[in-house]
Amino acid sequence: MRGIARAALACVLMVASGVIARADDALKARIGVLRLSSSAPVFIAQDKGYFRDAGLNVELKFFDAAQPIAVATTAGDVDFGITAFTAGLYNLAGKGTLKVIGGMSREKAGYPLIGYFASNNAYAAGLRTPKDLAGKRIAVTQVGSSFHYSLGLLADKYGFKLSDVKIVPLQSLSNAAAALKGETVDAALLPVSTARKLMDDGGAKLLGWVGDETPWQLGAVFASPKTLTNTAMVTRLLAALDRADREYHDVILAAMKDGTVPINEQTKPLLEIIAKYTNLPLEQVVGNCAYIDPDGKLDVKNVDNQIKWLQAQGFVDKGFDAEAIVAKDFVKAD
Amino acid sequence: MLDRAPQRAKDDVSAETRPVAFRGAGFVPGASRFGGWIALAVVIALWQLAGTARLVNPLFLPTPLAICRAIYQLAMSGALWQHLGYSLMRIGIGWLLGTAFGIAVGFAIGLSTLARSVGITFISALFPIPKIALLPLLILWLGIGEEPKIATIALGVFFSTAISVYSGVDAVPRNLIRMAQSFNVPFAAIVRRVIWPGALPSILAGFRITASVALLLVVSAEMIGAEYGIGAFVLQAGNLMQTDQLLAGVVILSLFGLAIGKLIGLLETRLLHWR
Amino acid sequence: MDLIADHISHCFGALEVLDDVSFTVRAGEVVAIVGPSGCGKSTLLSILGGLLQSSAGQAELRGAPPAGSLNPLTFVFQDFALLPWSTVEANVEFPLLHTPLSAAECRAQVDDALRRTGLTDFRATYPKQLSGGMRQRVGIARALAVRPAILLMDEPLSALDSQTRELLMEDFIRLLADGAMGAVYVTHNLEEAVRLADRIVVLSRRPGRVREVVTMPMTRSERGSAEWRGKLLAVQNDLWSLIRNEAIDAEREVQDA
Repeated sequence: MRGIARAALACVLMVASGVIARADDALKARIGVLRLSSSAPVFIAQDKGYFRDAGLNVELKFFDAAQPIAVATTAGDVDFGITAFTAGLYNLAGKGTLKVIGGMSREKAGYPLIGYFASNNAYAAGLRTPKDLAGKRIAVTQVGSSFHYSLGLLADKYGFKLSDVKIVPLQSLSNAAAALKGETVDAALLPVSTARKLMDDGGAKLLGWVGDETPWQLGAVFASPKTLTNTAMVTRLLAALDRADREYHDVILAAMKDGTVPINEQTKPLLEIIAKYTNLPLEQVVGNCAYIDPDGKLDVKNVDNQIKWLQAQGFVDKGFDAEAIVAKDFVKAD
Repeated sequence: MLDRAPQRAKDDVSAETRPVAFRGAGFVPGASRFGGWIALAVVIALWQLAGTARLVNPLFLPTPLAICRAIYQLAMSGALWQHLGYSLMRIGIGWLLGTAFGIAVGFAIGLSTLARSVGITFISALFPIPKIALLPLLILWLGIGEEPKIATIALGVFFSTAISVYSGVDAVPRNLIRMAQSFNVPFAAIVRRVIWPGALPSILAGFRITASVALLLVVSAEMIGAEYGIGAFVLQAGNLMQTDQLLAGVVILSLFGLAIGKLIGLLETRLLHWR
Repeated sequence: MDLIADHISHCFGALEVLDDVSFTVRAGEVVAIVGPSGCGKSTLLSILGGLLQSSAGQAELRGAPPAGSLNPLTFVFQDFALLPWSTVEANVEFPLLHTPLSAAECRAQVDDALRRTGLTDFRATYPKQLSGGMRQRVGIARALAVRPAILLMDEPLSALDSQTRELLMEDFIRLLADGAMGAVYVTHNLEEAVRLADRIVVLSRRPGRVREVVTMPMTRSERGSAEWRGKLLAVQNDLWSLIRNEAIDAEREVQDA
């Protein structure tokens, strides 16, 4: 009996001292993130200790889809989320459960990320440029996804109606790739990581990159309103990310040629960090580096455009705009 | 010989009598006719109250009213019938195909040594494969039209049916088959008049399972580029985080499940009245 | 038509159940097979009726079956073996469906069988609604419908209570009285054997061999009268003394197993 009491007391003391020690220590923050190179600055900041330098004890929680990160942030399972904008994310943000606090990856000319791909048959039949996509059957993962929106932007750019295109939602990248390879769709929008193998096997033809056609703000850093009350934590996190953004931009993006990063003394350490966190070989990382603004800026105008477009399609509830979901105290607008 | 119990000298008839205490109470739960419905109503009412009182975030758990509203809007816009129509068509054709092949293979396994050794191996090997894992392959083989959607449902239904049919055939009393043989009844007639009706109870029990399987798989099936369908609707609502729509779709699916359950219940009372 | 057991032996794997069993059932004759439990009585009947292939020896028929017999060797089963999803009428009709009989002939045949077993009023009922005795009457009606030459009865009364047994026994005696139909009657009940049979084949315990064939000292029609009661009881006691020790051993064996 006494033994148990003593053990319990020891436990209490240990927990108590832990709490005290942590209070002295850095602020604890959990970040939900995908194992994609579009989150490269997060990996760099974590690996090179920028979060620690800023007084944060960061734990990365890895997810396998964008949507669950938004849900987890809303539910308080993670303090911050870093991933792409989706209709689901906007619907959560529109209900006031999420705020955008900073920019992340962008579609930008010269930085291949999402591409338009044609099936071999469609290519042979004359589908050669993104402009020709009007009137075709095109596979995307989900309605209201980044891919769907990219297609909407393309339609606006070339003046065809999105309703002229037959959108085929296949729920997963592997399904979309299979449909393209199996010639059951004319084209698909795929990220370069998925499409690389398909192109190498001769299963599909590249028509162009979204970044070259219609640049837009793809990803962001966001947090729940509860996290935002902890101003110190948010400021420190954004500062650390800024530092990593700048380094990523100056070392990796500045060195990029023809969509590929050369492996040299400067780039190699950072590329290795990205390779480590994304579980990809170095050779694949070099061709798969998203553009990220060196100052962590967010293209608020584009975010507003995204919301309006998704609202017009009926994928996002009406009655709010970018203003309502952006935390102006923290965001640096373009 | 058994010893005779010693006789009491005199029974005391003047003493008072007392009733034997009843001690057989309890342990016989009766099914109340309305109990289940009342419980359901109470739960729904509490749920609505919790939502109205803002005890739970309506995003995480939309209130029953919000779900009803979503269903109502869906029905009014006409989209509901379109979704239901497509899903019914896929479930119907997929289920019929899967059931037809399942019954044929189940009977073959139940009746032939060769089919049994081959069939059971294959079924054991293929049954546990999650059909969703096969979607990319199905798309490669069958494209993204109705075929892979129907095939997904048919595959799921096929395995369950084949298993319930052959275990049903196995369960037909051997003495009935011997009886038929003793009257020189030909093989085909034994199958038709003895084995089929004998296996029918477990075949119908299998129908209950495969009907649910078909409903489960319609969501997977409609992952394959479906524009309409309850499954596609649920998926889209999930993708867009429209939780009230999502639950509306789920409610429709479960109502559908209830309706099919009732239908099979009717079929059972009609076909198995002899039990 | 005679049914001949010609040196029949049978094994289930390593277990020897019948050893060189031979006897003949003559046309219209009722032969009872008795013996301790597990001596292979039912196995023997299955072999005689062509439902089981013997390991050695065989069952043989001699002479033509009587005209109009649709199924010369017809079983009556211990567990009745009725189709639970069919009415009494459909159960009786079942063996006739694949015969060349016309629908009208079928109906006549079924009606006749139902009448002879007193089931006419029950034709539309299902087996589960009937008592055990009535169910076995359905089994008998089904057998009668195909006009058998020899009934192969496998403990037809053992699943029934004693009063029902008595009533059905009277039915059997009546049905077999005219000698138009023979029967092989497997039972462990010696009283049934002595009341019904012309001859009684006594099998030894496993592996079953023919220990004795007892010919009843009176005709079947004589047995109803009171003066023969004592005589029947004496035969029954003789049979019991033949079997008793074997029955004790057999019972021990079963319990050891």
